[in-house]
Amino acid sequence: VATAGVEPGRIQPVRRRAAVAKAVLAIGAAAAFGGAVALSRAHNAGHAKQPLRPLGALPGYAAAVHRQVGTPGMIDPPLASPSAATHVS
Amino acid sequence: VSERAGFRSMGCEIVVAGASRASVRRIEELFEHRDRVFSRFRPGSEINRVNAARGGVVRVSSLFASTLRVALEAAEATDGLVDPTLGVALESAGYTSDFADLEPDPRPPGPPGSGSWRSLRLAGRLLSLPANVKLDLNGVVKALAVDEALELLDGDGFVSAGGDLAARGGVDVALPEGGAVRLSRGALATSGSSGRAWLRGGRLQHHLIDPATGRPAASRWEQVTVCGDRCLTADVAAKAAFLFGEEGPGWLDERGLPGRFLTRAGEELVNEAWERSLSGATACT
Repeated sequence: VATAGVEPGRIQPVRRRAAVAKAVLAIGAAAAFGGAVALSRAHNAGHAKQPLRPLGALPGYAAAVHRQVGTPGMIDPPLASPSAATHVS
Repeated sequence: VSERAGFRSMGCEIVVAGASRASVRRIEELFEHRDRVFSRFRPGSEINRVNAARGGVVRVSSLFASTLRVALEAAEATDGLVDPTLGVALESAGYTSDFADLEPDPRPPGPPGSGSWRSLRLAGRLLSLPANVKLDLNGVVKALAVDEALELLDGDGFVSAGGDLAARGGVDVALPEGGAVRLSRGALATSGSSGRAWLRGGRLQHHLIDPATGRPAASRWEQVTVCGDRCLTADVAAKAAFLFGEEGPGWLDERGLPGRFLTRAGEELVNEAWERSLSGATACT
């Protein structure tokens, strides 16, 4: 920008305003970027929301698997004459 | 609370002990309802409607869907040995009506029908059944009904349905072909080829189908009794151990399930878990 012939007293305030405007834009862009990152971490399923931990079987899952493959009951020697009978099916 | 009550359902005698008259009535209704839904021998049953719609997608009741899921879990847990898709194989062997109504049939068995439980697709209540598959859920349905009926008892007692027995509070139980144990917790189930057998084409057939051949299994065992935490566990494990043949006792031991095996010659063999239980050791917990 040609400033020849412009009075020094008028150019200085314009330069200050331009510098302030650049600073405001830079800070605003940084804030918008930071906000977007925070929001995406909070709402996007692909982003970890908590610190990462190694995978391990949850107790409920392990119990379900155990149930699936079978859990024994309990038998003992008879105490008296049988009062029930099981047949073949 | 009744000392003991009985009625017939699902082709066998149901015995209930430890239930009030009202509870016995509820248990009878429970079995009747399950039979209405899952019997292949009742023309209006849901399973017949589902089997008739094979080759497409059919919407099933929530009871049917949840029972089928249990049956598929049983198939997964037994490497496909206890397979709910053996309806065609059972019909080929001649099991086409209530066992009490079966008569010797001189015709040879039909072509075998192998198991294909992995071919089913169940999404919510929508079931896709391949055209060559028919379901038979009888095994898990009866065991589930016994487990459910036990919850309806008013106090200690037991519910028994053919080879399935579940108890609350401990009961001394006579075993098939002699012997007895005290069932302190859980359930006992006995599966074998002698209970439901019939003649087809001059050869003895039974309802325990080997999914690999689609024919009644030629197991070393005549019957297998298993103790599980629930009747479902015991029943599925007993069928699997029967079908595993020589490997049956070890397969049960790997899971800590006590098992008693009878051969066709009448010899008795028990696995380590059964032996430990009756010798007073604490491994069977």
